[in-house]
Amino acid sequence: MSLMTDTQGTPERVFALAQLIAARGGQIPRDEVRHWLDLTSADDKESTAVRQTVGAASSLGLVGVDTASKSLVLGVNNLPRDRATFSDWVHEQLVSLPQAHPDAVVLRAFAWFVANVGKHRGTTWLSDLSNQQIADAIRSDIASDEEGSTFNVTRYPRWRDWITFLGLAYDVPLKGGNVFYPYVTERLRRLYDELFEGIDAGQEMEVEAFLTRLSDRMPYLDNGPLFVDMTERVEWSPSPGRLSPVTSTALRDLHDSGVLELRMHGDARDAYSLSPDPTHRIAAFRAVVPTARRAK
Amino acid sequence: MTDLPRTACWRADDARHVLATEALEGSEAAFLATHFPITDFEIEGTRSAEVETCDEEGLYDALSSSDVRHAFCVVEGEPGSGKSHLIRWLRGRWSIEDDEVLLIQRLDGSLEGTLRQLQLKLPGLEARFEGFAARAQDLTATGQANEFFSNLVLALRHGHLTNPPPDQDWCEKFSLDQVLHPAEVMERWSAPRRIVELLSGRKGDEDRDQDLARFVLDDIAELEEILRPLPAPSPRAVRFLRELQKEAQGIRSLTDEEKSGSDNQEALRIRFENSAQLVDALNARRNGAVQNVLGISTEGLKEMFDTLRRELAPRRLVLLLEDITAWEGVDNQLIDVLVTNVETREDNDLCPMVSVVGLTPVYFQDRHFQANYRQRITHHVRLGHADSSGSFQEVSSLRTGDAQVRFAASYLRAIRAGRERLESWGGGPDPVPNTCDGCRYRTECHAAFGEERGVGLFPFNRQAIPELYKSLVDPTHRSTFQTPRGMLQGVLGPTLNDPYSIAAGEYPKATIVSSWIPEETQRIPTFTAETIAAKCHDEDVQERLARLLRFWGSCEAGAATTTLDDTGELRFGNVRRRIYDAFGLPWLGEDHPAHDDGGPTPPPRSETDARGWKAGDEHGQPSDDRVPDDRTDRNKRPNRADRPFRPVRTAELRRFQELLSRWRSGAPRQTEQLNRVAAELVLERLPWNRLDIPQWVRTRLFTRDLIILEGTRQARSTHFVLPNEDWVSRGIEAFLDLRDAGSALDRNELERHLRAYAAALLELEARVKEHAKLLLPALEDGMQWPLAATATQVLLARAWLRGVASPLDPPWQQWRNILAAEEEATSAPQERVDSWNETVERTRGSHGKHRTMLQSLVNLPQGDTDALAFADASIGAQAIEELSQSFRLSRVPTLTENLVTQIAELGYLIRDANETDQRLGKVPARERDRLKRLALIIDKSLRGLSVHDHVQRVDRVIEDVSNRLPNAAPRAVDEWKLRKAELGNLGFLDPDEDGPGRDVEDLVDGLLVSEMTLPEAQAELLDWLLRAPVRSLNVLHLALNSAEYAIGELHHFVATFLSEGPASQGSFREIQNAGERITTAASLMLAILRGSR
Repeated sequence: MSLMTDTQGTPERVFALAQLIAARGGQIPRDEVRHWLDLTSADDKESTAVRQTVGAASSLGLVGVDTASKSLVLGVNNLPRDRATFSDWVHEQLVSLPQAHPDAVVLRAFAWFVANVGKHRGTTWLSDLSNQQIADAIRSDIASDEEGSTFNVTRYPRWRDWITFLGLAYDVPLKGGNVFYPYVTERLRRLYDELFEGIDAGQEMEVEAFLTRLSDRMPYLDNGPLFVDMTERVEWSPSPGRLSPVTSTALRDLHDSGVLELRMHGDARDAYSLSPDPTHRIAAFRAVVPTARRAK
Repeated sequence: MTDLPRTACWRADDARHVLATEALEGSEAAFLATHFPITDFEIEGTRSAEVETCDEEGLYDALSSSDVRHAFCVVEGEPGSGKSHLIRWLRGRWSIEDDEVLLIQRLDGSLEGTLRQLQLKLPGLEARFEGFAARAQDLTATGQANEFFSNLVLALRHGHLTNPPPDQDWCEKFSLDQVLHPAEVMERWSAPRRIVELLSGRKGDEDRDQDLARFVLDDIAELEEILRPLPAPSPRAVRFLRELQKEAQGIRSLTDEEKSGSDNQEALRIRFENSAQLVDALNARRNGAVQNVLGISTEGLKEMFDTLRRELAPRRLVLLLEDITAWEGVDNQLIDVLVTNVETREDNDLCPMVSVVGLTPVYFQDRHFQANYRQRITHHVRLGHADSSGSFQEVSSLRTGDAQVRFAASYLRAIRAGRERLESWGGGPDPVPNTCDGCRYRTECHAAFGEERGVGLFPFNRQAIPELYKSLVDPTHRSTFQTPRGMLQGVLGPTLNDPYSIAAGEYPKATIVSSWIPEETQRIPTFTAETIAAKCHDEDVQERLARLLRFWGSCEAGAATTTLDDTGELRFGNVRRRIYDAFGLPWLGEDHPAHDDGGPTPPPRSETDARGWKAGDEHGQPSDDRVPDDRTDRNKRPNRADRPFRPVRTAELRRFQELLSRWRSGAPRQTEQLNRVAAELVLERLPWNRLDIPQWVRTRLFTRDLIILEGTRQARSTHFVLPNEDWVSRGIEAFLDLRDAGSALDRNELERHLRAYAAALLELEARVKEHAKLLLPALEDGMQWPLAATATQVLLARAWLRGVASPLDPPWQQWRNILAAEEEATSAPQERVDSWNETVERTRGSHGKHRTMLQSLVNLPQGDTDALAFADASIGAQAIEELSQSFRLSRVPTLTENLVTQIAELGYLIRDANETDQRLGKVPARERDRLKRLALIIDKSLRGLSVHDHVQRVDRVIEDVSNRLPNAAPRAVDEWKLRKAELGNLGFLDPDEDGPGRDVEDLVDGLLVSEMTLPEAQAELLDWLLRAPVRSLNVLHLALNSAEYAIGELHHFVATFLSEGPASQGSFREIQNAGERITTAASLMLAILRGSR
């Protein structure tokens, strides 16, 4: 029971289940669930889609089981109001999971991508590898056999669905097939208020402070625990003071869209470098400044 | 600091002098200094074998040989390809003293001018020209045009010409002479005027440039527009003009490119058959019409030349005619003269003649250049070969880049030498002066810019000259500009005529790119442009850098990096650093060469692991090693500076980039194609599953027709318009490049595209949500309207009132019920209170659409399928709960006329929701009250009897009375019989205690006697009502009504009968019988009415 094994429990289905339970007063008999959700089944058997949706939702702690009443109960007090806020909730939930949790692999696998993109100084290597190669590499790199077994090539597409839903990537149509493109701009935007909590618009935030908050909320990015773990596993030491390509791209995008400003003071020696992008004017920054323009 | 020239090493007036494009136009010395041997031409013709080497000397030797008494040599080449140069070179080279050599230049390109030259070059023979072509002198330009046109119209008339062209019958069939006769045509049609201007030289050679003075398809399109409002002379002409009108539309839509090129001509003739035939008819009569204007007789020119040749005999006449088009109007007659072979004439009266005529491929291939002329060409020199498109001929001598550089170098040398030094040099035998020889910059300059046989290429380089040359395009697509003339005017001229721009630090300025180099050719890839912009903020400098990379190096994304060339010099964009310095441009690269992947040089690669990937280096430094072996092998490529940059984009992709660029600059073309791609990006690439936009809304508001790029079509509120902004054009460009070129792209460019693509999707997500929000009606307080809730409730109310669901059913059952196909109603809505049935009827025509909408709104498929699979039941569950509780529908938006067509169905949903909401809450109470009223009536009618007994009793009375008095109330009696039969069918007449009669009795009893407690809550009450035997109640009620009515009518009949007496004059016995029957009946009825029986 996890996001990786319950592959038919897509994000929107999981959210729909939670909303249904909320609409039914926070509790619903397990037998009733399939009647609501699965419109195709005529028999008494619960379909795989329903079972896996319940499984994924349970894995996230979104729903629980009341064995006495054989009911599903809502596992949260304030259910997110829409899919966007649901994605925030799921992200927060995944970030807070202990490493042993079956769903922890979701962000750890993503951290594996961030680390490898940093190691290869870009994402283009992804288009050279088959899904099988990528899934094998992740399984081999990220965990013990037991943990790694949750990641395989058939689960890779569903994992991508969740990651895309979380605003961490896009599927890109490349000649020869879709490729996975780690792109965290949307997630960073959605965490904007938290990242700049207590910082007024126009007020500078030292880069180190910003990165600390960033790695706290997005632990798969630079200096975050998942990121650090993965850099070791993929045997790569990031250059001190240089941000990974994934983080650099997001910061540049937010700078370009006026959501924040990457500011440099002269040629400050302690500035952080962004991953090289010959088409962008900003190569380094010393401070981050939230602008008046809200991110969401 | 590099030691390179910072100013030009030539003068503008020297450049202008040497670059004079007409051979010998500048000076003899300049001509010789820049003469570029014409080589590698093709030679055909009946005596081509005489030309031993395919170069200018070989041709001269063949033609000038003393035993040649007749030669008709044609030099075929595109305008500017060097025909005149070759012919003028022949004039300079011709050294046979006894030959009379006449060079007739093109000059103004007119026939009149050409004839004047001939007159001037034959001193002593002026008398031969007296009166020849004199008539045109008396006419104004308009007069000449009008006369030309009149002559043409007359020539179309049947019987006008002694030797008419073969299409005479065709012209007559459509009365073409009358069709063209109206004064409006002469006044407004510009074609005759244009042709006369070309022939008269009034257009000047610059404008003419060997254009043929002929009618073309465009002329017919113009003519058709003039003729359209005018009456046609005959029914056949009407049909012809109708065809012409259809064709004219097609002709107007042709691009210049489609109209040009020999390959296209036959296709155009087939497509525009009538127009092409009319063009032929006019052109076939053109010479005659021109000759009439000029006063030239068809035989005049021939006679003049024959006379000349007789007088010159036995000397040889060498006639060098630069351009046959200058003779148009009498060209056929001229060619007749030139092909006349003195060797085959019986009379030995004419002098030998060698003629060399320049003509273009268009002229040569024209159908009017008769086949018999072609067969009589002795030497056919082709200066070019058909290019890859088959449209134009490439000039043979400039086919290679090296040849182009050599050609340019000869001009650079002459221009730097300057006019005075060239005049001193005078043509030899010394080498042409080369100022590079004494120049202090020579070594550095030649190293940086390159040199050709000691002549420095500054400010060009070995790349720039061929790159600029191959970019030359005739904007009208009527010819090729990749000719020697094109090289001078389009490549060398713009730079060499403006030497000041180098010292001013403006080079390469915009003017170096002439109008002959299309914008799309000048454009550099977005990636490179962005790379330049990232490093240089001054837009003027950015543009100079873009031109530098485009023409002096490589603007491909893969080249936009720092490399080291074989000489140890850094390059960026494959341009040497010293060239940036020489032009005062900022260096775009780094101080060290980049590693092949654009980053710092990685440490040495280590061993391959079992996976086939390279392991990371032991120092933990950044490396790109962890890629499969095949990829690693691909990295082992030669240094970028030495590697050819192969375009990875297909022509289609490049064309699309051009379309995008045009759109971005506000001049969109082929907008349908652009919009198709934009729609594809939005519809197929957005992650719709996270947008909270249900499938039903998506498929209506976001369709291929509704997604457009700004400015490509008139936008309505329904259109989802992608703004004309960088993120859109970059996103679309990235989308196409990634999809169609993929990983073949340069790594940096690929990264840039991935980022641009993702950024565009992110922005689109927000805008898509905004657009949907804007078009979907909202609740009065601005809150989002939950469509699924309303659809659920409308369908559920209908299901309840039709009896197929009850509000007391489990909610999930009600949910499944409303999403499934509708079953037969069980609640007999028509027999209920009016508002019940009205509520059901209200949605009779729309419930199907509402159901489909709901299914689509809640469906959560996995993958691309529309099949209903997994439902988001949350909104439905809540809606069911609320409706069951309150019998009120959730709020809906106010119905306005602003709903866009695509979601007009929502208007019906709002209407149905409003009407259902108005009625539903009242229906249960009203129906309950109706049932109570019926119960009272029934109870009263039964008069204390059971249903069964009452019916039996009533029926007996009616039967008895109607038997005795057959004429009594027959219709009322019949009605009762029907009602009774109905009661029988329903089991009312069975003595069985559990029959419907008993049900009704219990209901009536419960409602009236036992004071049964009906549910208060609406859901329970409705459920009770749905279970009540309402149909039996209604049937009984009607039957009892019928019985009361029948008995009333019978009573009335009997009472009347008794008071008025028998109407007939019957016998006493009859009267007595009637009296007895009436008495009996009356007794019975009284008994019934009293209730005693």
